[in-house]
Amino acid sequence: MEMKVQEITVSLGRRVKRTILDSVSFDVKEGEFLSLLGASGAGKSTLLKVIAGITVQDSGSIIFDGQAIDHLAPHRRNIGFVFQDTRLFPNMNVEENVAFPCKMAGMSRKERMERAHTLLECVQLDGFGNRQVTSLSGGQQQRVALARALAAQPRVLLLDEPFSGLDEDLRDDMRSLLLRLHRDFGTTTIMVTHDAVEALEMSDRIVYISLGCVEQDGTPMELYAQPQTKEIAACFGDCSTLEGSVSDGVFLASSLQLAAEGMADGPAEAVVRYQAVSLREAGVDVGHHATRRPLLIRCSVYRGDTHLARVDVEGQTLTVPAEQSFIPGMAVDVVVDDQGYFIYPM
Amino acid sequence: MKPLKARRIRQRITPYLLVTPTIILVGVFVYGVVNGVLQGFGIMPFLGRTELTLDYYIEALNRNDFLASLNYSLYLSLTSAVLALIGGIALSAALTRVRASRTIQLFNIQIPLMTAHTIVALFLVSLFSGSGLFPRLLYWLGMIDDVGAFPSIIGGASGWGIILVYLWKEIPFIAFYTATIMMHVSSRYGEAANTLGASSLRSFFSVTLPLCRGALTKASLIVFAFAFGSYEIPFLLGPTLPKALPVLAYLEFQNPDILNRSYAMAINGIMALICCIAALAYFLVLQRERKERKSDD
Repeated sequence: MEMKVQEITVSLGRRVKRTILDSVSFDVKEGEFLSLLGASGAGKSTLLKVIAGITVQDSGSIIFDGQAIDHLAPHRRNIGFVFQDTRLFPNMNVEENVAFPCKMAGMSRKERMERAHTLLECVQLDGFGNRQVTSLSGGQQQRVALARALAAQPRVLLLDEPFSGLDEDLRDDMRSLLLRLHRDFGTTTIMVTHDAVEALEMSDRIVYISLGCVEQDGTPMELYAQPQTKEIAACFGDCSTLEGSVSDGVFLASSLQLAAEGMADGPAEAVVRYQAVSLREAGVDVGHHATRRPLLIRCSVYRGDTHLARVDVEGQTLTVPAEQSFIPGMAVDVVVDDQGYFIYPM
Repeated sequence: MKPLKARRIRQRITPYLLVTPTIILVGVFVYGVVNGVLQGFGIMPFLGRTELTLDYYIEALNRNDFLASLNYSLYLSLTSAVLALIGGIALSAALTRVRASRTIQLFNIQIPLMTAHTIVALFLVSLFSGSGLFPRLLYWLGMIDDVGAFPSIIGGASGWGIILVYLWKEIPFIAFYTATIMMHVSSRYGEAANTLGASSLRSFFSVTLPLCRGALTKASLIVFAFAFGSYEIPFLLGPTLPKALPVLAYLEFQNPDILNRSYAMAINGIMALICCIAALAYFLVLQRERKERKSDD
C-alpha cells in the first residue's frame, strides 16, 4: 500500500498551544521500510499516532492508496501498531493476544487460532500460546506484540521505538526478525526511532524530523553522506562540533582549516566525525594536513580497542581516535578526511 | 549513657511509640467487639450471667421477623451494590471517555460523596413522599388522579427510597474508586485495542472492563458491607415491616428488658459474620491482584 502524509500540523495543550508537528509531508512507497528518525521530543511518535488515528491533526491529511482516511476512527484504518511498552493485554494469554485483531475482524475462532499459531511460529514462539503474557521476557513480549500487529494483515505496520526497552543483544535479534518479517509479509512499515544506526541498518528510506518539521528525507546513504543539517550530521554519533567562521571558502577554527567551498563568509559550525580525523606528531611531514600550526593535546582517554585524544582548538575540543595514548601538552598536526566533515552556517 | 547507645535505644523505641495511638484505638475496638460477641452468647457478668449459650442465636434464627429482616437487608444491600456497580462503571467510563477535568469530577464525584446520607434522605422525602414535589407535580399535570396514587417510594417495602439514597453516594464512590485505574487502563490498553481493530465499545468490554474487575469487585464489596450494616437510612426511610437488620438490632437493644441485649448482640453477631465474609472476599481479590502484580514485575 502506498501512503502519503500531507502537510500534517498538530498543536497540543489546553491553555497554551504548542506546535508538535508543523506541516509535515512525505510519501511511503508500497512495501517500503521507512524510519522516522529524530531526537526525543521531535514529534515522531505524535506523527505515528496521527497516522494511526489516535491523535487528530489540526490540518493536513493522511492518504492510503490515494484515499484520505482522516475521517476514519483508528479501528477502521486496518493498521498494525507496535508500542514501545508492548501493551499486551494481561487478561489474555499469548494466543488470545495474537488472535485479538482477527477476532475484531470477525474471523471464526478456528481461523483466528490457526492464524495466531502461524504467526507465533513466524516469531519463533511456537508452543507459547497458552502462556500468560506476564510470564514472558521483554524480548518475547515484543515478539508477541509484533505477531499481534501483523495478525489482521494490516495495510501498514507502525512501530513506535519497538526495541528501545531491550538489551543490545536482544535488539540485534529483534532487528533481524523484523527485517525477515518485513521481507516475508511485504507490509509497508513505518518505524519511529531515535537510534540513527538502527535506522541506517533497517530502512529503505529515512525521514529525519526535528522540532516537528521534516529536515531531510532520503536513503540511509544520503543522510549519512550528505546530512543537510548539523543535527543530522551529529546524530550518527562519534563526532566533534567546532564553532568558527568561513572566509573565502575556508572554515577556520583556531589554526584548524577545512575547505568550505561555495559557502558564504560568516560564522559557521563544523561537525567532524571521529574516524575522519587522525593525528601526526608536529613537524613530521606526511603531506597535507588541516592545521596551519600545531595544536596541543589536552588529554587522552582509554576506550578499550582505541584511545581518544582530546585536542584543544582554542577552548573547543576536537576528539580523535588514536592507536596510542598521547601525553597532555604534546603538539600535534591534524589530518582530516574530506568526506568526514560537514560545515553549516550558524 | 553514651550518645551512640542512646541513639540506638531511641531508634528501637520510636516505632513502638508511633504505633501506640493505633494500638489503643484497636484495643478499644476489640474490647467492644469481644464484649458484644460475649453478650450474644449470653455472658453478661454485670447481671450475674456467666454461662455460655447459643440460645439467643437459635432464637434469632427461628424468629420470623429476624429472617424477614435478614432477607430484607440482603435484598437492600445486594440491590444497592449491583446497581451502584452498574452506575459506577457507567460514570467511570463517561469520565474516562471525556478525560474529565477536575471541575467535572468535582460535580460528579466529590460533591455527592461529601453530602451526608441523612441530607440526601431529606432531599428524597421532599421529592418523593406522599406530599412531595414529584407526586404533586404529576397530579398537577393530570398524570395521576390523586397525590396518594404515586407509588410508595418512601417507607414502602420495596425499599427504593433507601436504595436511591445509597445510589446517590455509592455510584460516585465506585467511580471514585475505579476512575483513575480505568483512565490508566483505557489510555494504555484501550488505545492499543483501538489500533488492533476494536471499536471504543468493544475495547471497553473486552479489555478495559476485565482489567478493572479487581477494583470494581472490591468497591462493590465495600458498598455491600456498608449498605448491609447501615442503620440510619433504613430507620428513616424503611417500612414498618420488615425492618432492616440493623434497625431490628437497635430496637432490640433499646428494649427496656436488659436481658434482651443478648438477643440484639446475637443479631449483630450474624451481621458481623456476613460482613466478615465480604471482608474475606475483599482480601482474596486483593491477594489475587498482588499475585498478578508480582508476576508483572
